[in-house]
Amino acid sequence: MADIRFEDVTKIFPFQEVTGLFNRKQQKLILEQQKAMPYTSNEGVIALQHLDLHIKDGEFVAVLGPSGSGKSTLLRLISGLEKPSVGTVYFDDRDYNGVRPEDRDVAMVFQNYSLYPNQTVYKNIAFPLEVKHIPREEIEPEVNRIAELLGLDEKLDRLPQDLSGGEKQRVAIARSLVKKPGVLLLDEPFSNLDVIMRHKLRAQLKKIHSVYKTTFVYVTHDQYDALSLADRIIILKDGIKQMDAPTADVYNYPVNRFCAEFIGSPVMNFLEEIPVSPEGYFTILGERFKLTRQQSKALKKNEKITVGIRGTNIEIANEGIPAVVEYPEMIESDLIIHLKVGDTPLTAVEKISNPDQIRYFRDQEIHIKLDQDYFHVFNEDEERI
Amino acid sequence: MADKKKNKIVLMKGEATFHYIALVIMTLFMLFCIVPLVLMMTVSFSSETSLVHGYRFIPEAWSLDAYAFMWAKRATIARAYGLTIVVTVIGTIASLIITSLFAYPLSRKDFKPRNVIAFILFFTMLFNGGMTASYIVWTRLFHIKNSLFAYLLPGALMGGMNVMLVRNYFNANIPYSIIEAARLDGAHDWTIYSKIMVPLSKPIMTTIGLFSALGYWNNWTAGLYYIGDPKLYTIQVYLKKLMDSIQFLKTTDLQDEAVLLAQRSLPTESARMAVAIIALIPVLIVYPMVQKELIKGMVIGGVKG
Repeated sequence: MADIRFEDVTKIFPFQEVTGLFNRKQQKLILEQQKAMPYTSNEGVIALQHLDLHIKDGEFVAVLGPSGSGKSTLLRLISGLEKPSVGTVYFDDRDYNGVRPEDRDVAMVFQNYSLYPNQTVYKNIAFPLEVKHIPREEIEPEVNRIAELLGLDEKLDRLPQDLSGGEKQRVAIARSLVKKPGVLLLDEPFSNLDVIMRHKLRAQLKKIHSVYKTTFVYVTHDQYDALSLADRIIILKDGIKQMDAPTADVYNYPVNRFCAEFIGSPVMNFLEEIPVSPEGYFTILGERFKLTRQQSKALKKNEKITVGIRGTNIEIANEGIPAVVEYPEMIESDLIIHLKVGDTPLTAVEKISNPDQIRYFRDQEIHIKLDQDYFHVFNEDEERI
Repeated sequence: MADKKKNKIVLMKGEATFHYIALVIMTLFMLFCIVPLVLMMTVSFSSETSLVHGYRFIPEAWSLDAYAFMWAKRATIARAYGLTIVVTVIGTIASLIITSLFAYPLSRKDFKPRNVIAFILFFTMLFNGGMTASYIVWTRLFHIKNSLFAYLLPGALMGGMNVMLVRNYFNANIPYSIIEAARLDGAHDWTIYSKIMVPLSKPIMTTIGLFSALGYWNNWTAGLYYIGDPKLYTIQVYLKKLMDSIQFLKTTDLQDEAVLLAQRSLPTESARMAVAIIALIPVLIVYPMVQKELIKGMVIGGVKG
C-alpha cells in the first residue's frame, strides 16, 4: 500500500539532437515539432510543470487529458521510469526520486500489453514472483488464483501470440497484480480493445480494485473509463493540472472551459461572448437570465461570459425556445438531437431504449427549455464563476 | 486448369524484367559459390598425375590416394579436428556471451555513457594497433603463445560489428516497454538480459554464433603467429602446414632417388583439396540447420542503424 505525493514536480524532456549524416531531415522535423510545443525551455519540452498532487492509499484515481498533456509522464514518474527534473516524488512521505523502478512497490499495465512473448501465460504471470525468488510451491497457487479471478485459468499454457487482445490485457493485469503491489499504474490499458471487451474489463477492474484495495492510478484519454472507474479524476492539459476533484464534481462543476469541454459526451454546448448588464442580467437564445450574486461579484466590469449547457440539460418541450432539428443520432441508449436555434447550433440528449422511439426528423420545428440551475458560466479567462 | 490460371501471379512489365535480371544475377552468384566447391571435391578424387593438365570437373583418372594419405595421417588430423571443435565451441559460446553482454547496455536508453562506448567500439572497427603491436601485447602481456588462448582471444572473441548487429536487433525488435515491464516486475539487469533479451534474440544470436563459429573454424592465422607446438595445431593450421610442406618438397632440388620417387607419388593438389573438404564438412552440416534463423537475424539486425 502506498500514499503518493508530488511536490512541485516539473519534467523536462531534452530536445532531439540532430546528429549523424543520415535522417537529418526527419530529425530536424521532430526538433521543429518539439520546439512548437506549448511549453518549452532552453533545455527541452516541458512535459509536466509545477505539479502538486496527493494520491491517497487505496484510492482509484484517473488521470485524464488529451494527447501530449503529460498523463503518461506522470505515470512514469510514479513508476520511477522517469525522474523529475525539478521537485520530489514521495511514497509514504519518503523521498523516492532516487529509487529505481525495480525497487519500488509498483506495477504497471501498458497500453501495448508488453507481455514476454517467449513465455507462456503462466510464466508471464509468475515472472514477478520468480524474480523475487519465491518458492515454486507458493507461486503456483497464487498464479492459479489470479488467473481464475481474471478468467485465464484455461489459457495458462498458451503463448501471448495465441491470445486475443482482451486476453493479453488480462494477462498483463494479472502479471501486475500477482506481486500485490502498493500501487498499480494503468497506462491506457483498454485503448486497443473493442467496446464489448472494454465494458467487460472495466467491470473486472472495478471488482479487482474492491478486492485488492491497492492504489490504482489509471491514465486515459477516454472519459468513459475515467468516469465509470475512478473515485477521483485529475485533468491535465499541456503538462499543467487543470482540475483534481471527485468524479461527480469533475462532471458537475468543471473549473474551467477546458474541463467542461473535455468531460461529457456529446461535448457541452457553449454560448459565447454574452454581455452582462450591471445588474447581472444576460440573454441567451432570446431568454433572459440573471447571474447569482456570487457570480456577479466574480465578474469584472463589462466582462462578457460564456455559458455552457450540457445536452442532457436541454429539455425538449411543447413550448419554449423554438428550434429546428438538423438530424437525430443514436449512440447506444442516447439520442443526440442536433438542433439549430437561429444560427446557433446545439445538441440535446434524450434517453431512449430502441431506435423505434426516435420521433425527430430533419427540419422538424420543436421547442426547447433551458434550466439556469445547470448553467456553467465562465469568464473571459475561461474560468468558472 | 481454370484455377491455375486464376492463381497465377501477373507481373507488371517492369517487375517481370526485374525478376529476370535478378534471377540471372542470383544464378551467377550461386555458380560462383558452388563451382569452386564442386571442383574442390572432384580434384580431391583425382589422381595426382591427371592434375598435371589442370583441374577438371570430371577427373581424367579417379583416385582415393589423397584420402589414403589423410588416413595415414589420421591421428594428427583427428587431434587437429578435435582441437578445432573445442576451440570453436568454447570460442563461439564465449563470443556470444561477451557480444550480447556488450550489446545489452548499449541498447538501453537509460545507460548514459552508451554513445561514448559505442563510439569507442566503432573506432576500433576502423582503426587498430596493427599486427606488430597486437603480437607484442598478446605474447608479452597476456602470454598466449603456444596455448589454446591464442586461438580464442586475439581479435576473435568480440567483434565490433557483431556488437552493433546485436544492439540493433535489441533496439529494433524488442519493444523497450518489455524491458520497462520487466523492471517494474522487479527484475534487475541480469534477469532482464538472461530471461528476456537473450531468449528473444534467437535469430541474431544464431547469426552471430555462426559468424563466430566460422571465424574460429577457419582461423589459421592465429596458429601461424602464436602456435609452434604441432600438438596444438587446429585443422586449418594443419592444412596450412601441410600445404607448406608439400610446396617445400616440390620446390626443393633433392638428389636422393628414393625421396624423388616418393615426392612424385605424393598426392599434393588432391591432398590439399581433401583436407579442405574434411575441414568443410562441419560447416556444410551446421549451415542448413541454422539457415532460416541466420537470414532472419541478418535482415533484422541490419534494419536500424
